[in-house]
Amino acid sequence: MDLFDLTITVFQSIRTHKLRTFLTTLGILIGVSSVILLMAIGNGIQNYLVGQFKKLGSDLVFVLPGNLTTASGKISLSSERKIFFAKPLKARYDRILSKSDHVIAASAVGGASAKAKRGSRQYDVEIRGVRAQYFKIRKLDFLFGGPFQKADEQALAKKAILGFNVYKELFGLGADPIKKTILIGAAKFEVVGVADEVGGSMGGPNFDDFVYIPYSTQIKLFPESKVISILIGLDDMDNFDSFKKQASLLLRRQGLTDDDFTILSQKELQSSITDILGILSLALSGIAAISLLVGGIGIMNIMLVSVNERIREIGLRKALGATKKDILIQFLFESSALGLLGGLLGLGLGFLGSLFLNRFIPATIGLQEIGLALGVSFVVGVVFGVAPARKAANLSPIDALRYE
Amino acid sequence: MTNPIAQLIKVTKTYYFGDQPFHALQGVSLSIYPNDFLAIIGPSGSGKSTIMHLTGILDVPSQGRILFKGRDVTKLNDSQLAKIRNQQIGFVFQQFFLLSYLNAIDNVALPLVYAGVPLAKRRQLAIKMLEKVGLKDKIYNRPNQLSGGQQQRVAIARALINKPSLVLADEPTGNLDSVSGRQVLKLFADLHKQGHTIVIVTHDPQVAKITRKQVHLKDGKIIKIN
Repeated sequence: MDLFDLTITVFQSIRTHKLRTFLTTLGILIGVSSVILLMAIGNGIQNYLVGQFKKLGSDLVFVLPGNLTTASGKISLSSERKIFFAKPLKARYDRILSKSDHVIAASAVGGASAKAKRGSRQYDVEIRGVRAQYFKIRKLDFLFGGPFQKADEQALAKKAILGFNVYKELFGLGADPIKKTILIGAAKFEVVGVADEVGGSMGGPNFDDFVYIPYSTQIKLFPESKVISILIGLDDMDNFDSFKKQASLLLRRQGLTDDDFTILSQKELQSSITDILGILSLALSGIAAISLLVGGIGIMNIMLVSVNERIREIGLRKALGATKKDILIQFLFESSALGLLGGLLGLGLGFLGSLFLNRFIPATIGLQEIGLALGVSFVVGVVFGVAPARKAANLSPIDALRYE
Repeated sequence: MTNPIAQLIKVTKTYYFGDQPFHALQGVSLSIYPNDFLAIIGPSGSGKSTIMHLTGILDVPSQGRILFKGRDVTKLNDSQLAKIRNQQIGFVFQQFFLLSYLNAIDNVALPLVYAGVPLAKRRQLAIKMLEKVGLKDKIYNRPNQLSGGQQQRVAIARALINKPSLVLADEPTGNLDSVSGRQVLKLFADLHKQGHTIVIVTHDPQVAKITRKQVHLKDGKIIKIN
């Protein structure tokens, strides 16, 4: 029996039991579509994050409060308890760190929340108090205007750069906001720039909700605000390790211990986030694997029923010249076709699901995911088809023909 | 004298029902020669179906030897046996055993699938064979669209498609009305005239009458050959 005849035979069998075939493939279908969706979401978020980090600018180093290094040497962003007990970072550390080699610029970043108002419009914003040199290392695409200057910082100027959402909500698209004033908290600010849209938030702060003001102004107007990080631009990331050594020394001299701060390259920060994603999608893939297992058992069950129903057909085929191998391959082919069919349907469903999810979070399906889904469902079909196919192949022709 | 196609030599077949042995055949010897037209006749339980299964190498004897064209079939492996069943033997069963999801052409062509004949050639040969058994206008019908007599003729066409040396028919008229039964028997008689070797297993003396030679069985032994 060649591939062509096998295909015809399987097609005829599937056509005879349409509903049963569909129900049998349901387990695989659900398993594959959930795997596809999970991978699509994982990929999408990863691509998104990588994109976001690229937009931040390259060769960046972050000094964050608290010791974020776990016992295994990895970075964990979720150790909030450690941050809580750490000594706070001070804004002047940026000047101290600028003295170490390879630093192009360093800027403390202060954080606070406030309401921004313009006329009757208002919007909740995240304030980021930064130095003028912040814009040397953090590349913003300006839709309108540009950054504030060092003189503005020294003069405690009330100048603001708006994130895209802030601009959209307070002014509306198209309006020129430069030199117009808005209220942040109770203080009047002059708009000097608008940053272009960065894109949706992944649960963390949304860059488009930011308002950048001079750090000195922030300290004066929002005394409760804290230094959330110190951003440093290096001449070359190859010098990161030597910078890290020097910087640690400098910070320790300020009375900080290793438990009070963490120096992270952009790459490390990025991988700490993708590590979390990796663990999450591994756990979810485990659930999907269980679904595939259940689907496989469903295929095995139906194939055993099918063998029992067709015992006389098997006997007849043997009487007409089918070998054990012919029968084995016929039933294996049928079970793998069931698996593959489930995989294809699951792929379709997963694709539709990812299109839908794309409206909320980024989700992309690549060739790798398609190949994996089809490969896995095919293998599930083959593996769970072995027992029924062997049972069929080993039937004696006469017992099979006489079966009532 | 020509060599026999199939030879049963002192064949015994014993089935066990729990610990109880049942001797379906006891030391039976029988030779089937080219162009024989033979009836194996006997009451239910006499062992006639067992003779057919052993001759068609669907089953193996408990004792004794079976030679098919001189080869001892008990010494052949699965694929060699399958090849003999495919190329040398045509089976016709009482219950027809047609596959319900295939039309007449594809049912008739089924042995050719295992012989490795390409699809177009298979269909061409199957249509020719269906014409030969008088079903020219029913070639696309499925079994449930055919009468019992027509189904059995499809089964006979299937048995003949590989030009077998031996056609074995187990109660071929058992499920048919008398008119269809007579037509099927006439078909067998015609096929014999064309040179086919045919063995019909039956309990019905009327069926046995059309054959040239009758082998009478009782309690697993041959009691008379005429």
